[in-house]
Amino acid sequence: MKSASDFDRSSTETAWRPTGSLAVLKKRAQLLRSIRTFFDHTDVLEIETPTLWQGNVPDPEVTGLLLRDGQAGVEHALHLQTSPELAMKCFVAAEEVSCFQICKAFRLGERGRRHNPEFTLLEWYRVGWDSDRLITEVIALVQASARTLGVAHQPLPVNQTAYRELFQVHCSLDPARASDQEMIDCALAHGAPEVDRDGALSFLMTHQIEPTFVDQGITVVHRYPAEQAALARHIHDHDGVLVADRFEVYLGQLELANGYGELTDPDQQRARFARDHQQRDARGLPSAGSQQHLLDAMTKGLPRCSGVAMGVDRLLMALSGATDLGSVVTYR
Amino acid sequence: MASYGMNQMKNGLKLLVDGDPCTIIGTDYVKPGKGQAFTRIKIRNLLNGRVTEKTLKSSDSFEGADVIDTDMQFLYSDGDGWNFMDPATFEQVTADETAMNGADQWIKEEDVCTVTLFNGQPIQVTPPNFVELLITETDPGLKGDTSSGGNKPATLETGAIVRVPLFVQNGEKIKVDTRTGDYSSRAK
Repeated sequence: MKSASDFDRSSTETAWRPTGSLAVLKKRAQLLRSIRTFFDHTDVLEIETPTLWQGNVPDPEVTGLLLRDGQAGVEHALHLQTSPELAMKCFVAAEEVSCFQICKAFRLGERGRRHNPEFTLLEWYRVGWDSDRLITEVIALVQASARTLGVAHQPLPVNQTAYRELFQVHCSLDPARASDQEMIDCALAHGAPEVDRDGALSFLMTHQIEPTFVDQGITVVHRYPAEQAALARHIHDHDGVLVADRFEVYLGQLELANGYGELTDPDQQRARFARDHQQRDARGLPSAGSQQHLLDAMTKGLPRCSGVAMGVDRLLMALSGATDLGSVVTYR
Repeated sequence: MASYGMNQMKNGLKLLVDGDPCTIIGTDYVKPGKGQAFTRIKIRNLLNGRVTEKTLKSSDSFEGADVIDTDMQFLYSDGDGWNFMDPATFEQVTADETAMNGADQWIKEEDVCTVTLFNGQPIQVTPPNFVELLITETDPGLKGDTSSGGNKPATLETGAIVRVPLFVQNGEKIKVDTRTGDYSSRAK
């Protein structure tokens, strides 16, 4: 294991030097061009939404950064986005057009080989598309990027699996049927610290399942447990089990993208946000601010759509063989 | 001692794990985009050298271990062990055979070593990387052999035996790398 401290800029005299090499930064420029070229051939509009918004998705496992604007005696709390999801979905509801954006996102305390508190996201929404169709497009974008950077002359192999199936194969458990205790015992048996059910699922995914993904291939995991839906709609899988219409895309063992068949029902969305806010309060986490604009937009009507967010730094890491995010950005 | 949380794990930090002092030699932050975060740490037990891995969740923490490295002067050895003195405070400690871990074969009285103290007790003695010692016994070398090829055992004044080139003679002082136990050069 290599430590993130290799890229620590806190006190060294060489901290003014970029952490990424010029050769990799040229690849980065090439990758950004390639992404825009990819969308040039579609009707997906490039947009920019504000980095500062009235709040963030209140996911208790993600904390944003808060700024205060104290001008003119009125104090406004401004949230640096953890992702552009809230603003982009407002835009989709208003204009009903497909759109993409490349922007910075910020997450407090996420720091490591594959994490940085500030990172670059590519997020896009496809109006009228279901998640299967969007998955196909995500794969095409990754393939195009690999081709542009000269990583692969043949398309990369693609594996697509349901979340339940992965747990059945690698943990001999079906998350749709296993009790909390069975899930927790399985995680403990594989070296987890004391965890709850959600923690057990996160641990088994990151420690037991992701390491089995093929090195030079694209792995798509879809149909997540219903309780991990976040902003995805619920659907029934072929067994009639209620699951989240959510997918993740990996290149090798690196998690690149998270996407949803979007939830469009404002009442369900309001209830999920309320539950997340309660959990944040119970854990003493800072407030995630307001999601009212999105709820208002959904009340007016969010068209049926699918959306996905992809880590651009991660994509470049995977395509350039980098093991540390610091080596694919100008400054860590 | 302070307590350290998941986000404070970094290389070199000394922790108390199951009662033993350990040093962190690797960290890895693992978090799915949606889901709970973990930090995997690789730790070396400072008492037995064993390396293990542990996974921490965000609410986990470890007590820091009261471990410090200090430069101390070797005084003498007796039946109780090897005695060292802090040249600043004149405080003395006695290291046992486990803490010495072979360091005694490289040091003479008054040499300064790095002594690792855990709760004030020496748990590891590290000799200087290079020491200069006299050869007390070695076979006479062949005439005319000046540099390359072949070596022979030589006993040093501390009792250590190292391989030296054939041209090195009895009574000469040589420089030895204590990390590898290899002859480095003749001492000037």
